[in-house]
Formats: sequence, structure tokens, C-alpha cells
Amino acid sequence: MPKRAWMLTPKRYLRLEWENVSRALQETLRYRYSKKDVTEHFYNECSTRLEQLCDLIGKVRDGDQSGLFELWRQLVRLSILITNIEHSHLEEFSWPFAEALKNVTSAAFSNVLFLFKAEGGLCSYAMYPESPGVGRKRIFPVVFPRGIREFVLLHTIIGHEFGHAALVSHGGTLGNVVRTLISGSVLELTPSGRATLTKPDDFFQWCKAHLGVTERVDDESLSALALGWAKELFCDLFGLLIMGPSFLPAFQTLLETPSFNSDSMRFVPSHPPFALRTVALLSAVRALNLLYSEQSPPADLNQLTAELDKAFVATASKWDRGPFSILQTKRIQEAADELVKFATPPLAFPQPDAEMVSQLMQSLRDEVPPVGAYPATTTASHGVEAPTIELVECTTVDFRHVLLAGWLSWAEAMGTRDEECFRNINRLCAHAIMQQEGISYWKARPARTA
Amino acid sequence: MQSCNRKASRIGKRAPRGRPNSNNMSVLPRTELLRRIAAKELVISPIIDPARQVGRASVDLRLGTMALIVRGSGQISVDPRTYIAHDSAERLAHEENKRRKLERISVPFGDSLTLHAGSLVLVPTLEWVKLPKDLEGAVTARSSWGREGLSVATAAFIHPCYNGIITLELSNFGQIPIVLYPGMRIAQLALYHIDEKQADACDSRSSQFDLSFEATGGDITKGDEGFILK
Repeated sequence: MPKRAWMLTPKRYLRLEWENVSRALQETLRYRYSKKDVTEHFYNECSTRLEQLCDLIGKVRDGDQSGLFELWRQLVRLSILITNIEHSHLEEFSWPFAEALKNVTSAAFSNVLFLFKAEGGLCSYAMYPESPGVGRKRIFPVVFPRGIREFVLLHTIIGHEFGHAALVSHGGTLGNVVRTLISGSVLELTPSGRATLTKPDDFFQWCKAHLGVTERVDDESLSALALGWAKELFCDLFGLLIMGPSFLPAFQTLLETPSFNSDSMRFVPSHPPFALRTVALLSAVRALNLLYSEQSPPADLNQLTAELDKAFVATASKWDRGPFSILQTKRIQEAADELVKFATPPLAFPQPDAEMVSQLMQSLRDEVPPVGAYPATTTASHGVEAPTIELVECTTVDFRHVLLAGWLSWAEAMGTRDEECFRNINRLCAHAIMQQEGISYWKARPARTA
Repeated sequence: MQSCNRKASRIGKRAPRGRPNSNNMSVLPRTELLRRIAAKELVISPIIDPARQVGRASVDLRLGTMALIVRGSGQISVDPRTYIAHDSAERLAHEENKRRKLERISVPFGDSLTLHAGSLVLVPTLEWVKLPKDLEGAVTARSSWGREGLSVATAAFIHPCYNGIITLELSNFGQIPIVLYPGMRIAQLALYHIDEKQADACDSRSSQFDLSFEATGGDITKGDEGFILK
């Protein structure tokens, strides 16, 4: 008597699913995901995982419920990743931005393949780090909001999501930074049964007093909540460190504006309230010496960035020294110092040259993509009588400096210009990042052809 | 930002100007090209390899990183009448045709674009070009590419005050496919000086393609509706 489908054993069912996932992977070859070599990396990684899963399915016993479940879970995860590749299209958002980001993060995340994709939502940036049981590399999907694909200045916030990636891929080292960051604060909870500096009930009372929370959950859930918030605060610090001063206006625009000033102290389980994050960032930006307006002695660039600083400080000052100022300045400084040891160049934001940033800003005023500043000697206009070829050769510019110039230009223009101007600045910066990629690709040709 | 805040209705307005008197036009030589670029009176950016890219009287232009491939399947003909919409249904149909006719693909550096015989593909230049009011540009194929059957531009004039990428209309007149790589020099831009006294000031967007970031289709009916409608 022939067996029917519902009579499949768990192991045969897994084999069938394995074949389905394999076919789906073959189908992805219809699509080009990013550059050719990136497509190849993803395909090879997924193929490797399938091969390993095939072996494991062959070895697992039909009665091994936990083993079968784990393999089923791996197949489900792989199936979702493959579908993500199918849904990824090159035009969904600014790919040169993603390429530039990958270039500066590749050394720190050498064992990770980032899968960039777009989803709905107005500010739905996200990162979904994985810890696969099989395969050679990890695949971390990175989500950008489809609707604002051109707004590269806002994409600066993605630095926060790379913090989540760092916590998963370098948990040991960076877990210590998280602990340092919240040390001595109301968030410093550990699971019940262990010694704690702060009792879970203290954290609940804090939430009750300042966020209007009325329902108390168990200690384990409170500890998990506090740990989640601590990680989010760490990710803000990480984003600031790698993206530089542009992180602040992006953070403010995406998180403060949609709350319409009424939700800054609202309780959201997944993230600390905006007020708490802002105060923590203010301390961090001071600890990292990135608050240009407070640096001494002031330089040209400090003057330029003053407007950005002022807007952020004005917001953060509303809550500074209040109940939301829970992190200790000393601990933030220590955490920042530890993080700087991890986030070495090119991952860390490089300090820009004031003259170069001024040139990039002038390009934006002229409605020209701010790419590859010319040597300073060319800036005198009619004085160039015998121009040489070198005078028009572009220099290499870090994409984060392009973003900084973009935010500074908007800070300069926002009082008198409209939203179309902000869109144009974003598009000019996105275009410049693409052009910069071309310059870098050209300059790297000796290494490629060697 | 001098012109960010312009009203949308002004964008796309074609600045009135006649063809300059050819007696007053002269091509810019290399020295003058370099001087103007260095002084930022003229923008052709970025010039990645100036020694090769700036010729005796022209600047080579490189292939950008996206392409609009014109597909025959989405629309059976290019009929100007379909561009004129009387109601929302016609507008929708026109937009559908327009977007389905042009398949947009990204071609990152290191990848290639295959141009099949007889096909038409719109591509942007890598360079951003901004002309002052006293310069007009002319785009032509580099002769070496022309000999392979590649045509790069049929609408070759770039008006004074233009600001944006230049869209190249690539077509393969040969019988064998041509493979192109982003960043390659495929066209050249020569610039002609026109009498400044006859030139209009750069005070508004000069054409429907001004401040273009990528290749786009155009509006072939604008201003000619009287000849098209019954």
C-alpha cells in the first residue's frame, strides 16, 4: 500500500523540506543580489549550510525529537534568508551607501555577510543578527525603510543597528562594555537569585514613577527588560562612535519628531524612553569629545558644527540632571574608552579636516554632489593662470564626512528652505557617495590587478 | 542652497533662448577647460584620471552605475497621444506604460552591462556637469567606441546653466553585443563659449531634465498637444 504524504516520518519530512529549500536557493540565481561576488558569497554560504544540514539529517534518528526540531529550525531560518535574497533588489535604497558602510565595517565583521534589504515603515531600521548552527559565516539581514531610500542623512542611524551586530559577533568583549555602561544605575540588574546592586523592584518603581507603568511583571522579565534597554543604550553609543556627529541629528529626526514631543517619556518595552536615550547620548558625545561647540580651543569645524550641537543639546538639556539621567558620567567615559579600543579605524568615525568639510558644503550650496575635494590651492577663482592637471584631480573622502557636510548644509539652510531642499541635499550626498565609490575603485586598481 | 526653495511650478520651465550666433561660438581648449574647472566656474565632477580624461578640447565622460533598458514588450509603440491624459485612468495607463517600458537596473562598479544589437539603453554619466551661462556643451561618442558600433547620444546639446548628470542614449548599431563596464570612458563633452551678452542668467531650472540624478524618460508631447489631439 503506497504511503500518503501525511504518513511521512519526521526524518523524511525534513528531507522533503531540505529539497524544497534547495530548489528555492537555485531560484535565487535568477536575481542578482548586489555585486556579482556578493551574490556568489551568499550562494556559497547557503549551499554550505545545505550540505551540512543534509549530512546532519542523514545522521539524526527518527526518535530524536530535540535533534529533529533543531534541524527543522535551521531549515526554517535558511528558508527565510533565501526568501530575503529574492526580495532584495538593487534599487530599493541607496546601495553605494551600503557599500561604503560595508567597507568600513568589514574588518570588524570579517565573519559576517550583511544582507541589505528594504521594508515598509517610516523609520523601520533594523538588524537581525543570527547565530547559526551550521555554515561558515553568519548572515545578518539589515533593514532600511523603503520610503526614505534616498535619505542617506537619515540612514546614519544605521550605526545603532551595527551595535546589535557587534554585540552578537563580539559578545564577550562588548558585553563587558554594556556592563560598564550601566554600572551603578537602576538598569544594573541580574537574574534573580544572584547578588544585585539594584533590586528589580527598584527598577519597577523607577518605571512607575517616571513612565506611568502600573503593572508589575516578574523579576526575570524585569531583568530581561533592563538588559534589553542597556543593550539599546550601548548601540546608541556604538552608532555615535562609528558615524560621528551626524548620528545626533539623524537620531533626533527619526526618534523625536515622530513622537511629536508627547511620547518622549512613554514606556515602550523594547527600547528605553527617548528622554533616557537622549540624556545618555549627551553624556556620551561629551565623553567622546564629539560635541564640537564645547571643545577648546574652537576651530573652524567647531564653528560649522555648532548648529548641529545646539539643536541636540537643547533637546537633551530638558532632561539632563533629571530622573532620566541615570547613567553615571564616569561609567559612560569608561565604556567609551573600552569601545574605542574595539572600534579602531576605519570603523571609528575619522576626524575630518575643516577645509575639506567646507569645500563639501560649498558644493552642496552650488547644488553639486559633494565628492572628492580639490586641493586647497585651487580654491582661488580667477587667480589660476596656468592650471595643471593635478589641480582638478579629486581626493578621497570618507562617506561619513559627506554625510556630515550634508547635515551641516541642512542646518545652514533649514531656517529659510523647504523640505524639497532637504531631499535634494540627501540626493546630492547619495550621488556623491556613489561617485566616491568610483574614485576609490579606480584608485584601488593596482591592488586588484596585482 | 540658492535654488532649493523654488516653487515646483517653476521646475521644468524651459528658459527661453535662441541658438547662439555661430560666429560667436568657440570651443574651449584644454588650458581654458582646466582653468575654468579649477576656478569652479565650470563643474565636471569627478574627473578621476585628468591626464587621460581631459583632451585637447574636450573632457571624456564615464559610464554611470544604472541603466534604463527600453523594453519592447511593455508598450507596442511610442505614441505621443498616450502621453496626454484626460482622466485618471489614462494617467494610470500612461504611467504604467512609461515605467514598464523602461526597466531600471543597477550596474555596480565591477559589474557589466551588455548592449545587444539594435537595443536602446539610457544611462547616466558618472560625472555631474554644471555649465555657466556662457557655455554650451556637445556630447559625442569617443571615436574608438563609434567604430565598434556604439552610439552614445542622439540629443547631443547641453544647454547653458544645465546642472545634473548627462543622460546618454546608448544604441548598438553593430551586429554583435557590446559589453560595457561602469566607469569606462564612453563619451566626450566639448564646450563652446557663447557671447555672454546674449546669454540668459541662470536663475531657474532650464529644462525638464535639470538637476537630474539619473537617466529618465522625457515628455515628448510638451507644448505640441495642438498637433496631436483631434
